[in-house]
Amino acid sequence: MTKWFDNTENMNNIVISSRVRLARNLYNYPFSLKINDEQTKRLVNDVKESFFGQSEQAMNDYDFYEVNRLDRVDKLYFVETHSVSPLLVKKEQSTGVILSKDASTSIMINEEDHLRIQAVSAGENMGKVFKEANRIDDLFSERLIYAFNQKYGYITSCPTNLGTGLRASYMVHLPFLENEELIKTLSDEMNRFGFTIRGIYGEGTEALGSIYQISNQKTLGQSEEEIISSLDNIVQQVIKQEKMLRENTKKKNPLGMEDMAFKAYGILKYARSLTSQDAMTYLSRIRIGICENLMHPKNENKFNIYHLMIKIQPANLQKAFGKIMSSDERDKFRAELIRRELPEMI
Amino acid sequence: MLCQVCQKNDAVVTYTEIVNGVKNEKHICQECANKYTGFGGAPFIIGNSNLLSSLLASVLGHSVNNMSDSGMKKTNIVCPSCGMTYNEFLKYSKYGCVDCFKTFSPILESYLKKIQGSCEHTGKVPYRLKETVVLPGIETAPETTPETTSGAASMGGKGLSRIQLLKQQLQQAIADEAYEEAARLRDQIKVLKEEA
Repeated sequence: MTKWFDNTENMNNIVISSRVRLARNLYNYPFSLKINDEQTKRLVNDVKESFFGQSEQAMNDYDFYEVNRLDRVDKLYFVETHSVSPLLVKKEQSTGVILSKDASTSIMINEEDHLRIQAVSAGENMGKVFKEANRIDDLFSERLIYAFNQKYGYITSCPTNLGTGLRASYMVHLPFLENEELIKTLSDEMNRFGFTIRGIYGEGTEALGSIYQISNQKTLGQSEEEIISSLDNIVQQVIKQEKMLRENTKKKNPLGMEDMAFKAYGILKYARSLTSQDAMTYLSRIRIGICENLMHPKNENKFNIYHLMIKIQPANLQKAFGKIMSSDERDKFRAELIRRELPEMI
Repeated sequence: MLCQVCQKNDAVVTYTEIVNGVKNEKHICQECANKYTGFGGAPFIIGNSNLLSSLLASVLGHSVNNMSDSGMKKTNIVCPSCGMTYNEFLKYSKYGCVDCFKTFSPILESYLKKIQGSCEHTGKVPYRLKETVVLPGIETAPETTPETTSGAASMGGKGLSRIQLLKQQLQQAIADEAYEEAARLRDQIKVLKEEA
């Protein structure tokens, strides 16, 4: 089945994807810090049973993985496709993920909270993903008992998630704001309003290919809809700024941006060895060329640059070629994969 | 202010104790604090392992630079269910279980406002049961009306009001996963509250 990131519509804009995460805990288990091995096994099983046990359809549409039993490459593969978090695969205790076939919905079990319900979609689609996460949440709340308090809302392991337990985020491509060294300024501004901007793979990771994630920090005191609407406003502002910079650059030097995109294309089309970092930088430039209508893939419907960005990550690469590789080998195969997948540009 | 224990020296330490959800604050001098708490005036050691915990620690007034501050609040609280201590909570910035939430929330109320900007949930409510984590009545417990006898929780359930009794039964029903019973009790409590 095609994955959500295979989607070629909505893909070539500043906003790459929209994501919602709900943190939930069950009333009858200790939280992640104090839960013992035996309890984690029961927890994973309880959640799995409650999800699959009452619906045949669920079996057809979703898969379940015992994350702690996966091998290293498979674990990393799920992290690279954002189906699970880096934290989940680090845990040695029993952990699980329920994943829809198109990878757009995932329910992590025994992460920082007992349940982390995630829904994601290509492009600006926050309404849709919130609806989906909400649907899954309703389904669980009919079958399991959540830790909930009238005043403080959903009780989460970390006080920073109390209340709605909602984290809504947009993944955005901001090469020009980055180039002008404006990300730090943006970040400070956003913090004042309770929002945050960070690198592509969440907390503590650097931005690869100028891709950032903008999300809410505060979860208490506002309804889910209010949080999402404020985030929308902030992201619209950021998009406007990035667009303005792009327009100005184009005006000042019309050939410069086009040249930058095609030079990057030339390198990727002929390189024999590429690190993730380099590949992401050049792909980011090609993405600018495509978004700004300066270069066009010959068969436009078949090419999705974000998917290629995922495919060249270490574990995805090793899975695609079906073998464990050293870092040098990966650089070689990465270059090969890119040469093969990059379509002709006009 | 004079120390509330010895009535001799100036009070420099606020000692907060929470027993069964009843908060008790004492302003005491350093000497009595040493005797009373067993801390011996030793400063808290807070691991700087992650930013959040130092942030939380700092909003809780235990910032590392502030260690020697004599006005610093000292607390000695342990979660009865999972054994998490207040220091542990500061270190990891995470609750160990739902009871930790009850245990530590009274002292966190004003600080939650600093990290979250608010302490009132206004969003979604789960479908099945409105509330599963009921906080003990911190503020109201010591001075309640005759109907809701004060300190009832700590006295092993003697002289409970009807609502409190039902609430206890509700907790038990939830613990036993007797959900129909729980729903019935919840509705009963609701009716009683409305009548009152």
